[in-house]
Amino acid sequence: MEYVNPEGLRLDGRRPMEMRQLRAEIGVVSRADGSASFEMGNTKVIAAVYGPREVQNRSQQMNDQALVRCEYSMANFSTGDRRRKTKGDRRSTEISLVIRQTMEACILTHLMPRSQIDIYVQVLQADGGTRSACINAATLALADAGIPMRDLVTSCSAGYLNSTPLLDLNYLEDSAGGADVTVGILPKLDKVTLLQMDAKLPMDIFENVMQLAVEGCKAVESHIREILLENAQTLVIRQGYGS
Amino acid sequence: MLEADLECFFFDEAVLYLSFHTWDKKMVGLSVGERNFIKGGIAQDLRNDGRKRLTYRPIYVETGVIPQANGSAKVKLGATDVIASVKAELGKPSLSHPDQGKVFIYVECSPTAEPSFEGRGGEELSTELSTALERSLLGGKSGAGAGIDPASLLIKEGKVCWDLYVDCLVISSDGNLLDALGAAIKAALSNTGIPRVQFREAASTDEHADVDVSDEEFLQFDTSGVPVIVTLTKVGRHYIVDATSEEESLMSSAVSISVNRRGLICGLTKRGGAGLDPSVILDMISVAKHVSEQLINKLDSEIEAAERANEEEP
Amino acid sequence: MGSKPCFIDKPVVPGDVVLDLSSMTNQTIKLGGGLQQDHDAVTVVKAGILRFSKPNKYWIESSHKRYIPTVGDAVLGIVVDKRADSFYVDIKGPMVAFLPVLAFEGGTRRNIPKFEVGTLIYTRIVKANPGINPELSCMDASGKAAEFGPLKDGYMFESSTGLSRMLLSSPTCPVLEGLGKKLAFEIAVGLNGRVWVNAEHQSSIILAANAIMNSESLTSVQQKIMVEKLLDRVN
Repeated sequence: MEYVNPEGLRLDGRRPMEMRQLRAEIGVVSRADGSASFEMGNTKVIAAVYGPREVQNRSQQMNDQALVRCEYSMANFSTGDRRRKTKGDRRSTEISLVIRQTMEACILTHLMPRSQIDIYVQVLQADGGTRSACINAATLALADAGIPMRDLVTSCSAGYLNSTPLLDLNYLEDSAGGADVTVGILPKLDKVTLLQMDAKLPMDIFENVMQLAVEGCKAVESHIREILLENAQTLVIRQGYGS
Repeated sequence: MLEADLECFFFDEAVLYLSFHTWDKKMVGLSVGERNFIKGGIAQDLRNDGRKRLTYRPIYVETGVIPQANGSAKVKLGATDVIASVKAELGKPSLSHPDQGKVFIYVECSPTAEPSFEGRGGEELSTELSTALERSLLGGKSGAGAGIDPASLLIKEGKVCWDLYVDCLVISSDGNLLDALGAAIKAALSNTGIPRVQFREAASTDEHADVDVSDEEFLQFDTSGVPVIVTLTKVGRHYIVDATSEEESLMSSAVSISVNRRGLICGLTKRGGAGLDPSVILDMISVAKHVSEQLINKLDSEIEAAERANEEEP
Repeated sequence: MGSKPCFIDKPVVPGDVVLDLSSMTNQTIKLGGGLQQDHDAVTVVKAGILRFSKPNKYWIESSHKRYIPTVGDAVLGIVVDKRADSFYVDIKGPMVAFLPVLAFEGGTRRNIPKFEVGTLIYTRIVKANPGINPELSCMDASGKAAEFGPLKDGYMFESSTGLSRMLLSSPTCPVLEGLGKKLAFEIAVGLNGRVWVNAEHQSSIILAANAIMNSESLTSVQQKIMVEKLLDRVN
């Protein structure tokens, strides 16, 4: 199967280093303390944050930091074939863990000891790069909730098909059997906080693919920054009240 | 006494989404003062958000939000936000109804709406909503009085039919989930295109039906008979329409009635402990019919606008 | 970066470095909410606007649904539980707060207030530290009740910390000024993003509450217009 045609175009018409269209919005779940939607092409997810609030299960309370919890769910209609089980399956549990660990690393949990922060991520449409979209949505939702973070976390995936590194894989490309590298970075601190890969790649190719994913993360970062700055701008409009 | 063509189901369970126990303000239970305030307002036909008793919140409809599905829609009613998606798959008619296709309705409550929906916490509510929707839109076991006609889904009697899977997701909740879901399903069905099919008799056997599914031609689902659901919530001595979570926490009972464009009742559900006099129910049905006219008009024009917006997109 | 940050009064996001301390030796600066020191850099940890107030305080102004308890703040709390020594009160913070049963003017063991679960209380934060339940009091600094205590009747709604600050700012914000011209009402603003309104007629309460809720994202001019429209509709 040809994933990159002789003219250098992918199945959806993109160039190898081209990202899908990004769309994001803050405050989409009005009853949550913070929320956001994030779209990468046809992949659409929503994240909602509740907290910091009182720990619900005493036995889980931590004296020196906030408890961060995360649940990942996929809607029945999110994949091409209807899913029977939307929660509790192995993949969902694994992704919940990955998102929790990634966000926990950037949240300043020691500032809110003995409290709880819940992050709920809901996938509406899955077309590749789902875990990246979830992390990006979670970053926005946490910022919307005012949860202190040492940096934003942004994420993007990249792969290698037909001997070409490809940025931001969609579902077809992801299921092609080539490598799929997901990266999460803390852009200002210039650190990689998440790195996952399926399949095998020679070292030098892996470096290229990872570097491509990092570039993707940076592109996501500038989009996320823009949204947050625009949102903060509304406070300027209100001419700054109080200290 | 109630007319024979109405299907009525009474059950005395307390409404399930009131049973949370967290220390969030809304769930802690309103103070006596606030309860009286809300009840007093409703008695004066002035609710907390300025609405009258029989006024709906502004409805926002967006269609085609899940491009992978055959049809989909998102409906916002105040802070209540739900998505409905319709997927058509080829199936075999059941032995008891060989002349019909099948429709399945599933509701899921996302934890984004409410932390207590985490894990399996939302299952009870999801099941209650799915059942109420099926009852309101699909009629009784015989299929009689259904808002969505399963006979229209038949391809070849006894051999092959369309199975419609209507999957709904509650993203954000501020009361009146049933009406919002009903509206979302109606809008999603309006957005649904079912592929044209050719049944090839010659190539089919008893086990395997040979069907040619078109990639190009789609039939728009006929939604003129699809009802809307109007839930009347009793607070104190009065009924209100489109209750918020706050108002729902004070209800003594609720009756949900689905009515279609022609004013026909397609289903009725009662929730809540207090028993109701049959004459009161007839009264509520006439109120629901009256309110449904406005709701159907508003919803239809919103759906039309949403579909037009989709066409105009580059 | 230099010693004169160009970010003052500008929007910033988590991770942004706004001050370089290595070029500011022999200066004392105070860091308020939303800023953290990381060796020589002062970093933003909450999205918002960087503010500076003389002589040396920097902080991030932002508006959120949840509240970080600060000593001295007046807040609106809801009683969630009762113990022999204190009421547990929810103030929308990371931990539930407690209000000692004697923290009332002239309070003794014999006249402990009877607050039911759900009672709304206008109260003051006297102790607040991360990881410790905040302590409340219904007395001002001199031991008087002042306006603190339970709030009866009226209507309470949740908003954001930013809206609360706006309602308490001076000069009076446009929405309150506009309402005050035609309506007689009482208002209690909790810095924890809760507002309580009371008036003689329920319709006035609902009008005032809705006008205030609507003003969240409006400019001064828009607020004035919105209030006028609402008042016109009723009269």
